[in-house]
Amino acid sequence: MNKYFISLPALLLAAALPLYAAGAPDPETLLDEMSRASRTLNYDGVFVYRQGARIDTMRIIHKVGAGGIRERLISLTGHAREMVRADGQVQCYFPEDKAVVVEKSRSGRLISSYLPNPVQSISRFYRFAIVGAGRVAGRAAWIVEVTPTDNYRYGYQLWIDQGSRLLLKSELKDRRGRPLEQVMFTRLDVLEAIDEALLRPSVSAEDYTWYNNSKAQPEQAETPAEAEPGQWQAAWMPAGFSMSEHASKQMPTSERPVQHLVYTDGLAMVSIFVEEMQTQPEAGMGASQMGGVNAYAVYTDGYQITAVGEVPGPTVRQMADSVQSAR
Amino acid sequence: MTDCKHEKVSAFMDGEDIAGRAEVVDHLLKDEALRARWARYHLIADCLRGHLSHTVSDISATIRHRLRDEPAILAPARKQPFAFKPLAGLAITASVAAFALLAVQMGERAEPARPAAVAATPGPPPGDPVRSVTLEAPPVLPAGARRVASVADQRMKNYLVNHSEFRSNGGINGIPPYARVVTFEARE
Repeated sequence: MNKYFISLPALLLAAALPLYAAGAPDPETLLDEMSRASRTLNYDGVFVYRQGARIDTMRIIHKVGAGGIRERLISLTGHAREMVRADGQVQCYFPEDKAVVVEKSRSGRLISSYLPNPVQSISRFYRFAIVGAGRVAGRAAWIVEVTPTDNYRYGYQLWIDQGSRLLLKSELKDRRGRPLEQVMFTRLDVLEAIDEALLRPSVSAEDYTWYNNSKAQPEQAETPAEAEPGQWQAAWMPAGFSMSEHASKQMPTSERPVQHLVYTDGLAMVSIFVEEMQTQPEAGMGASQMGGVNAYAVYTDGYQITAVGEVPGPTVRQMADSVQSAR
Repeated sequence: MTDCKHEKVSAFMDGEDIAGRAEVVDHLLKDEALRARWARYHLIADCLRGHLSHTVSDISATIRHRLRDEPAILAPARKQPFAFKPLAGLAITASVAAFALLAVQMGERAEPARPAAVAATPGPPPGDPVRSVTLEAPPVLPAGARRVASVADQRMKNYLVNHSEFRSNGGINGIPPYARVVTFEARE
């Protein structure tokens, strides 16, 4: 019995050695480089997106320019939905509803848009390690494991291109290591230039109904200061989380502007929506899940409070339950 | 699956005050055949009353999709460090599901005499976390539960768009922002 206790670490060390011998960079540096690559490279690729029992395939065209990142996402399975992000706007095309939803894009404006710089600043809540090498979309990759130090967040396994440093595959994992959501490129072309035509939606959308939420409401996002009276806030959140932004905005399904509070620990992000409602909605209360995103909705004193985030169900539930108006 | 279970489901549906109601809802959610039977009971009842609802199967399918995508509920963890357990979530989801099914019935029927029976039907044992969810559900029901579900879905879609908006590059897991929006509900 004792033999195993001695030999296991030795085995692990032996297994890990060849990787480091092959020149694996340190994981924090690699993550910083990955973050930079996604903001500086043009690419056109096809990826598989798996959440729960369902699989979708999407094409992504990503162009970097003086005006910021422009991107087009096309669903290759199911409804032919498209998303075009450019010039501070996001247009989501829903052909099945003949609808276009236009939203403001906050590209690159928030800390939660990027990995924290340096990545090390979040090492209290996550541990980083290079656990091996692999191959995705025909490219050699380093495998990085990101493990949370408590049960309030999810972990990740990332395959990072050894050449371009772009992310080739990622898994969002629950605390028992089961993948909740996976993204994997099956083809990825890193390009010098990208044709403008590739960034235009394929539908004319002439007979579509447009829901423009980007200008109906003046931007009301604010940097959070001390909670003002009447300002909603979560009384509970996991260690390391803080409110990064709060905004008030009109949504097509709401009668009054919805309060949107954003909390992040630097990696994981939780949104809390507070919507005034005269009566409790007939559906949509309690827990729901969309792949790695958990949501929890409660109705209290004329308000529906919904927490949405890439964190375990109990985290959104506890946060939603703790929301209160500052006095 | 036993006849006893069927009897309980039947009694549950008829609004009888039976023991182990939460259990019945659990059975309903776990058991495909039992769920089908539940739907058939309602279809038969509606046919008899001349209120045939075509939305029953649609709604239960929607709920099933929701539940299918909840691994924590399908395989509840034994030891959770949190103050509450995934099972509590199951109970709530179950009661919401049951309520939605009832909502279909009530929405289609809208007879003033019936709501009292419905209010008594899904009531869980005292102290059960299900209670608040079920009882707080208003007796005011819309023309069809399909609409209810779609409004809630639309609201969630909006929330997802807004949540994604704050992540311009998908964060560390590289899921492109809006990928979830693009795939949300695309299952139909």
